[in-house]
Amino acid sequence: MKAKFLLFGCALLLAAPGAGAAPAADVLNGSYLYNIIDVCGLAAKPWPSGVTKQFDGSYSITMGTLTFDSATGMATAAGQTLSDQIIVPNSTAGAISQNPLNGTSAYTNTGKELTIFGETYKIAYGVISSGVVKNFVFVGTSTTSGLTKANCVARGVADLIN
Amino acid sequence: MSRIFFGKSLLIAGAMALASAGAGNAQTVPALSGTDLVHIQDFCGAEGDPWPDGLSTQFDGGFGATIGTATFYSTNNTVDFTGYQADTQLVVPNSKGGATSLAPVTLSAVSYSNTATTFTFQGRTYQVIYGDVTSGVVQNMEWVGDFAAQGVDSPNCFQKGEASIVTP
Repeated sequence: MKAKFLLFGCALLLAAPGAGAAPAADVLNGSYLYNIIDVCGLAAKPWPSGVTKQFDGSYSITMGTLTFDSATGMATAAGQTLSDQIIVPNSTAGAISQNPLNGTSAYTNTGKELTIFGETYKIAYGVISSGVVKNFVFVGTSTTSGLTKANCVARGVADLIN
Repeated sequence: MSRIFFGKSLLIAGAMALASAGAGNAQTVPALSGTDLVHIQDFCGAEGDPWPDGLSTQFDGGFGATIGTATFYSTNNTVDFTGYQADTQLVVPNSKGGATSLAPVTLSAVSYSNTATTFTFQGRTYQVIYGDVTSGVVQNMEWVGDFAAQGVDSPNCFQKGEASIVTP
């Protein structure tokens, strides 16, 4: 589903290491192996008659690599998304899809929030080495009120590979 | 929204029982100590009775995701947690949206206990698989919990979580 591209972004603020300068922020930089679970609730109105079910809900798993360039503030995602509906009306199968996921996005990262591909996520860092974040996790809800993104939660996990 | 989920069911597993590392001790329990990066997912099926007319949807189901850091204190078997939890309903009756929430989660000095295969926390017991263990301290681990089998307030819920050490 959408939240497809969730993901992250990064900060910098590489403060000039001069006397009295603020400490440099830790950055996302390099390629990370990541996966995302994205679940969107089924929305139906009226309920329960379901005459007009407006969104069947979805469950998606995305995996791939996400490459951050802390110098330019750009990120590139490459991978695959596998999706299914939470409810498949009038059918017994056929709702699964698998699609490549590729794209580039500017990103910002405050260390607490990551904004990328138009979504903002809460982020938590793991190990940090020489100012570079080696692993991190993030979570968010749909920020738009669009029909198919109104009831979504996504969480991601990323580990630096190079 | 959901009756289950987090604040409640979080995390991780922990350690303790610092089993005395005696020779021949086949059930040594590794310790949880230090700060871990954590992510957790809760899944709850919707309940409806009768179904499918759904005249009484009894529980709308849900999905929850929690991220953050947990600090384990092996000296007194307590854990602190700081992070965020996002939830949504699986079924949103009579609406297009508005079923999500995202909020900070903070826990302080919550007691836990564990064995070589289980972790008990906030009234729920999880099955734990420990990964690397260095000097008796867990470096990473995964856990799952089936709450239906435990008779707690989430009969259609299960949880999966992972933790990896950040600072020993």
